[in-house]
Formats: sequence, C-alpha cells, structure tokens
Amino acid sequence: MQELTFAGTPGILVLIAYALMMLGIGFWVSYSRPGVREDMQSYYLAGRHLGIVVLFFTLYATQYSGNNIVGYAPAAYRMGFAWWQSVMFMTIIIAGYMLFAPRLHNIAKRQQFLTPTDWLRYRFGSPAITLLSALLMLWGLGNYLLEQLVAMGHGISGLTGGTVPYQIAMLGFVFVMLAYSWMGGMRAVAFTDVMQGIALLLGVAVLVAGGLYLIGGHLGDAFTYVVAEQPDKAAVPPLESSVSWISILVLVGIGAAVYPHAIQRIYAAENTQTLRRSLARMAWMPLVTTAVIFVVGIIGIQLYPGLSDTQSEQLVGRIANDVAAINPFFYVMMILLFGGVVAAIVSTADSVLLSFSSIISNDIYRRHIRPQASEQRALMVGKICGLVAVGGLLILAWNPPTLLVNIFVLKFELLIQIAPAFIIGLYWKRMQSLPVFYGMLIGALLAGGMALAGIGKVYGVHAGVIGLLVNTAIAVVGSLLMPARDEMASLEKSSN
Amino acid sequence: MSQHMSPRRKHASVSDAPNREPVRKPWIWIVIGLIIAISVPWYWPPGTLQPIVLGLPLWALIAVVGSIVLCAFLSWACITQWSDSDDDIEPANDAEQE
Repeated sequence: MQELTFAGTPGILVLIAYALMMLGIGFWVSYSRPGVREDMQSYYLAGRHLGIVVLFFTLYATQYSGNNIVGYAPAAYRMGFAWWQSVMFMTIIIAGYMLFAPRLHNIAKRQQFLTPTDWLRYRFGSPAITLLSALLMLWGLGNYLLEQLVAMGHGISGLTGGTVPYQIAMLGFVFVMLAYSWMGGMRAVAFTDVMQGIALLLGVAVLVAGGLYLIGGHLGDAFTYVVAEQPDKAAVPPLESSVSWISILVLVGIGAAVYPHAIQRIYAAENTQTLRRSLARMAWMPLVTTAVIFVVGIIGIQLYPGLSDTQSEQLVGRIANDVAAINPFFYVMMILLFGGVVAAIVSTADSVLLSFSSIISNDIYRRHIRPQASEQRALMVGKICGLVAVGGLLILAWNPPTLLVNIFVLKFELLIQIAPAFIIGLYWKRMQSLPVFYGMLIGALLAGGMALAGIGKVYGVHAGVIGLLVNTAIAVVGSLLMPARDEMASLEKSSN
Repeated sequence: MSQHMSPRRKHASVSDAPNREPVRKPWIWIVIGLIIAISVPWYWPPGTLQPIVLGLPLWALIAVVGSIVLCAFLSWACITQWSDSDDDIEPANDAEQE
C-alpha cells in the first residue's frame, strides 16, 4: 500500500480510538457476562445466543476483510468490467450456506457441536477423517491469519504515513485483538464486529464519495471513459475468463461458506429465524460493499490511466491521498476510511484466531492428547496455542521465507476439501468414511500440489475446484462401490 | 431419503417436511443456475463491445442486473423457503436410527 503522506498523527489518533473501543467492548462483554470464560460453549460460541443484529454484523465483518477494499479496487482497475464477478462470488456464498446451514444448525444445536469437526465425528465416526479435516482447517486458518497480519501491518503503516512502522503496527493491533478475544471469546469478537462492520461500511462509502468528487460527480462519465478509451477493459472477456468466472463462483460460494469460523457462526445463532434473517440481509451486502469497491476501481481507470500492475496495487492509497487533499472534510473522511480498513482486517483475524483455538481445544487436545482434561484446561490450552501460533505467524510476517512462501498461501484450496463430507454427508446416508477420507486427502494433495507448482488454473478452472471435483468423485463413487452398511452403531458410539 | 421415523422423535423425518429446506427444492437451484448462466458472458463472442445500453456494454449491464436479481432471489429464498422451526429437520443418519 502506498504510504499516505496526509495521515500522520491524526491517523494514529483514529487508530488509538478504534483500539480503545475494541478493548472497551471486550471489557464490557467480559464483565457483564462473568461466565464467559468458564466453559467452551460460552467462550467459543457465545453460548449459542447471538441475536440477529450481532449475528449479521459478525457474519459481515468476518466475511469481508480489509483485502476487499485494498485488493479488489486494483483488480477492477486491471480487469475492468469483468471484475464484476467479485460481486457475484460474494453473493453466491449465501447459496453455499443454503446448501447445509438449515440442517446443520438444527443438528448442531441438538448435539451441542462446538467445532466443524464435531459434525464429521458425529456423522462418520472416523478418527482419520476428523484428524485430517482438523489439520486441513488449522493449516488453512493459519495461512488466512498470516495474510491478515501482513495486511494489518501494511494498512497501519500506510495510514500513519510510516510514522508507525509495519512491525510495531502489527504488534500493537495483535495485542489489542488478543486482549479482547482472551477476555470475552466469541461474544467479544462478535460485538466488536458490529463496530468494525460499521467502520468498514463507512470507509467504503467515503472512498467512493471522494472518488466521485474527483471525477466531477458523474459515475456515467467513468464508464463512458472506459468504453471509449480502454475498450479492452470493457469488452467481453475471453472464454477462458468466463470459465474462470464460473469456477470462482464454485470456489468461493462453497469454500467461504464452509470456512470453520463461518460454520461456527451457524452454530452460534440463537435460532433458525435469526440465522436465516441474518443471511437474507447478508445477500444484499455485496451490492453495498464489493460493488462499490468495483466502482472505485473503474473510477481509478479514468483518474490514473496507464498504471502498471505493481503501481495499480497502490490505487486505494493514491485515491485516498488525492481525496484528502480536496478539503478538511475529506481529509477526516479518508482517515476514517483507513481506520475502517484496519478494523475490517482485525475483525476477520480475530474470528480466524478464535476458530483456530477452538479446534486445538476441542479436536486436538481433548480428543487426542488429554481426553479427561477439564473444559477450563482445554480452553486455556486452546488460548495459549492460539497465542503461540500468532507469535510464529508474526515471525513469518516479519521476514517471510521466500522459498516456502507458496506453502503459506494455501487457504481455499485446502479448506474447500472438507465440503463433500460436510454437505453431501448431511443428506446422503450411504456416504461412507473410507472413500470420504481418501477423497479429502487426494483432493487436498492435488489442489495444494497444483498451487505449489504454480498451476493455479487449468483452462480457467481453479486448482481448488479441480481438487474438489476429484475429491467428490472419489467420495461418491467409492461409497457407491462399497457395500451399503449401517453406520449407526459407530455413530452412536462416537457421539456418546 | 428414508421414510423411517426415529424412535426418539415422534414428529418428523426429512421426508415429512419437504418444504422446509431450500436444498430439497430443485427449482431454487435451477433458478440460481439460470441467473449465473445468463450473467456470466460465456455466450458472447470475446471482444464484443456493442451494443452500449445506459452507458454500459450490454453484456456488462446483463451481468449487473443478473447480480441484483441474484441478491434479491437469495434473500427472498432465505426468508420464505426455509423453515423457522428449530426442531423439525432430521439429519440423514438420525432418520435411519431404528
């Protein structure tokens, strides 16, 4: 991100204000609910009592990160109108939820599931599946968290015009995030998401308002400019790009819905009505978030034609600088924008960290290390492992090892491989554990291997989707070939 | 899906509640598929710019309108095609428990 020359001390003040608000919410939640740290259901799922407003904002702030602003506007700049696909892939996530959330929410409530792996254990009763899925989720979540930490450092360093160095910025906000998460768990994370979600919406709104001001207030002019001056960014994309468009709808639509922290929000919803109403509102959010960012990118084409790919990465910083120079009002608004970007990153990172800790507590420690451990002890182990993981990721973010860097990019490719077991297993009683395990393993190896080898797509189809197709085929065909058997005995054992 | 009832639960298996889950209504997924098929510009010759409608190439306008329709449809489906009852949908395996 370009360093923002306009934002020194005022940027620091806004960040301190945001940090204090987050800490304040953490304290308030912690002290208004004394039992919040006592048991895992309260700490990791807010006691399954998230109401409609908080659930909506925590779904929103978790799903939309700072990357949606800082990374998507340059993508629109480079790809032109074809980047409208971002609006569609953020919308189709709701269809992904509709595939499994109604039933999973009910079963999770009855069976008191804590982590996504609990469902797989209940359904398949196979330690191999539960362990493999837990490892895939931990790896994916760890990388997702690393990405957020790096973005946080860059965002804050940019916001303060380099006054606060990258590393100090990361450490500061990681401390804040850890403090309120430690105190209030999911309840603190969800309540801070309300504030962070509003900050993100506000930031997006002021960015597009400033951009429109710079081009004279007529959005139509920006579109006309692109059509007339850069027709390659307005014309129908090649067929391979359309295939890639459909592929990314599958990848994000299913992948983002089965994110562990997304699944845990399904568990945490107070009831079905709360969940479906929150998701009904979420369906509209791409139009007020991703679509607006798309417009910012298109405005950028008119404002700064001819930027190289690397230069375009700094598009949001460039626009913010020019908008801030208009008058003091816009100056203040741009500081709020970057505060919003940082808040959006923190709100995603905290949810990912909480989910990471819950899998350690519930699926690794209590299942494989100390089955007799008390809830408090398991909770503490999860929290401390989360802390250690953040420490390790901070070191990586500090000096990313160039040779291994691709390993730390794998996220969707791995996480999406739990989808067949999750979704098909919910409805198809004949699905069996052995083919599910091998499907998941081979799908993850294939998708991860392709990504590491630098083969991101084949004819426009993403590596993650190819892995998912192979995975699904193995799981389904394998289950059909194996003799049908009643898995209920093992299911009963495993769920007891 | 099995028609069996769980001995623990008197009232419903999935097959008793065909209108309660979006996943059991194929038409919902056909509509989503159609919206996507129309919105993604795979059926246009690559490089096409004309016609321009309302300042946008027609293919892009169709994609924008298609996305708005998708948002509206999914939001509507969540509200109207998904049961409110918290306890009336059985998991696949529960339906098998005898």
